[in-house]
Amino acid sequence: MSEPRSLADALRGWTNEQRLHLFEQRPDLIVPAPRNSAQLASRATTIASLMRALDLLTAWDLQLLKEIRVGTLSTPAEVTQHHGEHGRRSLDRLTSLALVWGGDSLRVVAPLRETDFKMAAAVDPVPPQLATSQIDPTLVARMGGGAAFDFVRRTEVLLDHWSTAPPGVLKAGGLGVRELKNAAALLEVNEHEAALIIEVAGEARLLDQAASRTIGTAWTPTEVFDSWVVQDLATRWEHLATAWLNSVRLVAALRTKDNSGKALNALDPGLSRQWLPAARRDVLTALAALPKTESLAAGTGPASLLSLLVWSAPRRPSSREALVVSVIEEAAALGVVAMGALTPFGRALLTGADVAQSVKPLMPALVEQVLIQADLTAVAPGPLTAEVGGRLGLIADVESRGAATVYRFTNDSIRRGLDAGWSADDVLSFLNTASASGVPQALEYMVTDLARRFGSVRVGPARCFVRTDDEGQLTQVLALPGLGLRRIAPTVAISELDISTVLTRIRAAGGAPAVEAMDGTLRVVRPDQVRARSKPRPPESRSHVRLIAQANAALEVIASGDRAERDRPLQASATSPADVLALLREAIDRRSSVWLGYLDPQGRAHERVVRPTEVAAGVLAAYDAEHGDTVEFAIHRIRGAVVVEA
Amino acid sequence: MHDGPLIVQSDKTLLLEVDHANAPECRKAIAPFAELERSPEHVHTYRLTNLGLWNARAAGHDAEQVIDALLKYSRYAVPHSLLIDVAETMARFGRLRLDKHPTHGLVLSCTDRAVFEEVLRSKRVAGMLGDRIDPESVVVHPSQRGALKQALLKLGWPAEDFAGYVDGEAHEIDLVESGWQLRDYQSQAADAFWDGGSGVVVLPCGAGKTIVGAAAMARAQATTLILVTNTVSARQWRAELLKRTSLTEDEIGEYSGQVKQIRPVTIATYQVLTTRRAGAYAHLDVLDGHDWGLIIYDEVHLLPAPVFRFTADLQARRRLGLTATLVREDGREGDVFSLIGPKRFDAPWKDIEAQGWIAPADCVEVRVTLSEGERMTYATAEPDIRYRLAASSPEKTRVAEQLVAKHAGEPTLVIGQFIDQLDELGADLDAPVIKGETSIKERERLFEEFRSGQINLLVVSKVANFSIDLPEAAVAIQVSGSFGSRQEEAQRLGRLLRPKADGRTARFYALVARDTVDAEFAQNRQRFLAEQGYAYRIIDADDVASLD
Repeated sequence: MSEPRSLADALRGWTNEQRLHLFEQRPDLIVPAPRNSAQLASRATTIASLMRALDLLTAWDLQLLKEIRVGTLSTPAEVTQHHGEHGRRSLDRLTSLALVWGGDSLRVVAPLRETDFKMAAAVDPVPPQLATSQIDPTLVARMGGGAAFDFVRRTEVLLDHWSTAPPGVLKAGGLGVRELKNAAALLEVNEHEAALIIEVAGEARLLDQAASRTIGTAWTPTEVFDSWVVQDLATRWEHLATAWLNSVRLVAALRTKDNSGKALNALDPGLSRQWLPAARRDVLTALAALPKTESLAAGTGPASLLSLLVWSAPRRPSSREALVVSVIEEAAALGVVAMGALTPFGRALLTGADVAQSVKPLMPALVEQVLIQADLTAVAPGPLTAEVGGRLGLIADVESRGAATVYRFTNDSIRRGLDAGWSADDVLSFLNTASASGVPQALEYMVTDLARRFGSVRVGPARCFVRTDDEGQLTQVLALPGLGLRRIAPTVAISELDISTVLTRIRAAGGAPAVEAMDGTLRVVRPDQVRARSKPRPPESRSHVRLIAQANAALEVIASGDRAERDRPLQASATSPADVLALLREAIDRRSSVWLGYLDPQGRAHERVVRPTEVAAGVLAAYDAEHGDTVEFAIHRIRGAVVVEA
Repeated sequence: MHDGPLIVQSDKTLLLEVDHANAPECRKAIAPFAELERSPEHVHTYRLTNLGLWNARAAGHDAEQVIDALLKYSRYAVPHSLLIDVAETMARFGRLRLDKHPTHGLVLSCTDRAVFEEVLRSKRVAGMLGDRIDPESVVVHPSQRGALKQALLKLGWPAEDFAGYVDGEAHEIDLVESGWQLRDYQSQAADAFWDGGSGVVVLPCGAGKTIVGAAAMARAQATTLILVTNTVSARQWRAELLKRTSLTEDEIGEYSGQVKQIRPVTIATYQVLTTRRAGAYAHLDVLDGHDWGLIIYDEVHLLPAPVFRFTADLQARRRLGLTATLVREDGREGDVFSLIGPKRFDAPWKDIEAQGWIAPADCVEVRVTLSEGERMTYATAEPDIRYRLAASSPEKTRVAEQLVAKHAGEPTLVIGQFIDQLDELGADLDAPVIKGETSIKERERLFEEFRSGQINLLVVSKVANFSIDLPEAAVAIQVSGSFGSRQEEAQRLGRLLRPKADGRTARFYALVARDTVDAEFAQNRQRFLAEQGYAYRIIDADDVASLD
């Protein structure tokens, strides 16, 4: 083959197979499809595309690329001579990615000739070994199954809880610190794991923002949750695990500060990282390469995995230590990884095939019956079906959660069922079907006894009442049209209409009602007088205090403004940053006061008289005698300054 | 899926399905480290606590055994975090140790420097420690031995105490095994205690705790102080010791409200120990002045707080705690662990089976409806007297009479809290009444007559019913009195109402006024009795006649 003159020339000589391989590795080259090899070569040498291509290289590849660039090695023969088989394979890779071209004399593509990629001095041509230990694969599967079930269960518990008590959405878009703490307590996990559950629920579209009746916008389970919750456990897990695998949410960054110094909360938009799914896959793929009987060694394993990733993808974020650890932790929480090894369904998740089927045998079977005991508890010896669980949860309180659930019946919990419209018979017949051990007599007695008392005192709304001493008279009033009356006792009726309407209508019908005040005394009113309903008012004292505070604040603003105006020079004597700086330094030396005109971060103009004390790192520190404290100004925001002799 | 009898919850409770074929085997495996919390009919609840795990460590079990047991019997995967927690907790015990040093006296040492620094810097141990000997050990003021152990437990680094004991004044005590023999588990318990130095022996009621105490005394061959809950119990100890050992009347002294004798073997009541005179515990000082070789604490779970302080100063003496349960209502299990010692012996499972969860008595709660007039009085009464009104309703007297008549001829106890009510019942039923003011002598006489069958109906107040051993009673009727310490009461009930020789179960009635606070208390009692495995029913007073 003749020596190519350029990359384009080299590409022209490629086989279709070679080209296909290139496009697979660097898909950005064919969007949109290049018109010819010249255009392909031109695209392949843009900086953006090259950087992406470099990300695919191992540390060893990069090392070789560097040696070719600086001319240490300039022919394939030299590469093989120096580095043997490893070198030849690496060179093939560089060539196939169109980073190096040429026949006998090797050339690095033009833009890379100037780029300097920092890297460790000596790189081993073979990848570092993972530190592993032997493991029983069935134990891995079992542990992972437990974790997978727990993850599904906790997601359900949390979203179920949030169905009735959704937490508010913060202004910045996240979930409040206290809400996260509460969720962690409810789920019996630490805050990071709670945040993971919440984030995965969000990515899985089980959770989203919705307008709430009480607290503005709230994090609320979605309609997807409703269909998710009735699926079998394995399908539910697949849904969550897939969402996690592709999630861009970096839960490990929880509580770290963003660029503006604000701490990041769960569900905060600032937690998204577009590179994360690929990095997560890097870590899991490295684990997938282990045989099934080996796992990462407990102590040294993660560090060795990190070294491997640093070697195989030094330019990608997956080679960051914190990330490796957090991916493994998250994977363990989901059951994708257990005891340092990928679980069978974790492998399935990576390939995307038969995920639900592979996790199914490791999930506890759903149970439909509970054991009810004389101490008024019910034990579900496994996860309950949504149907039974939901109904039992209505009439009993959960005391302990896990693979099993312990419920306790109390007066309050049974009453909750009665409030929801169940009768004692409904409760008992449900318990009879749901219980594998019958209903203890004491529980039966409790339900019947509560139902007997339930509703013996009743409370309801009314806007006014009508009462008479004579039953017959009340019957007459009830017969009148347009009063909206309902009899609640032989001599008492209530109405949903206003007192004035009822009064007027009874009078119009020829009756002579008197008005009774709240304390039961009679009030004689003229029929033509009108009244408005009073509205509650804040107590006088409180609003007064607020007024005084506002007034004082206003005074302060005015006083400070006045002083600045008084001292304002006709023209600022220093306006350019250099002049301002010189003037400030002089003022510091002479301890004199200075009038400043400046803009605040929002761009509003202010003026102030201060005594400068220090200038450093583009910031002026000055004492403000008016407020009695030290203030700081960014020098570049100062538009003018004049020395004012104090 | 694995089909084990145990479900391990992430909140550290263990649920054991008792009808499962492997349940007995599993129970045996988890008993050394998990505390049995509830034992109703189908699923028993155990809990993993730090103390339970440390007790297991002190008894020679390691984390691997615990984890193996959990993994082996668990039906579902065991939460990983729980396994880690178990391993970490167990590793904390014994990292620190107390030893006797030939020149420095009492010394605290630790091979883990980081832990040692953490402990030494803590405010809790300030003032208890002396000079640092080397990076791994420090001098301990001898007077602070108990307080230090308490503090270290609170810090989460319980120390193992190898500092040994003083022998105390020697005194010859031998077991006299005539007509009876030390049972295997009793001698194992005494051995386990002696090898461990100090600690607690847990045996169910009726398993012969007194005999374990006597065996321990025979091992110690030294003057002994025995602390018991009350005078009646003191007399029972005395009688037992006279019967089982070579001790004579003159060698055993009683130190109680009535008598103040100090003899080579002295039995003192908690009550007299905690009596203050001019703000000081005068009797504690008296007893502290003697060179005891062994101190025995009966019913450790009832040990009052001042006795803990007394015990903290007695760390150089051997201490044996006896109890049926390590659970304390006041949550001071940690103090028992650090001041008296770890659990040294637990009853073999078969005995617990016989005592614990097989329903020993049939409990019937009778709901009494108050009359219209009483309901009005109750509704308008001040909250603080409502309970009394409800509990001592005359309706209850009527039902109690009905029940007594129903069980005529069977040994019956009527138990109540309010003296007026008891006097009235005593008069109506023509039965002797035992209450707080009844003399010890009179009480003993009546109990003896009851035991021998001369009388078969007694009305007793709650005060009098403490620690009496009346296995003959077949029926108990409680007319009033909430259960102060419910677990303890359930235990007493068990002692009082054993299955009878003819296999018939005893019957316990509780009379409860419907729709009042009385019923609320009853609900707690129901919960605790059911948790102890008692059968429990509720009936209306009108149905008493048709009861079988």
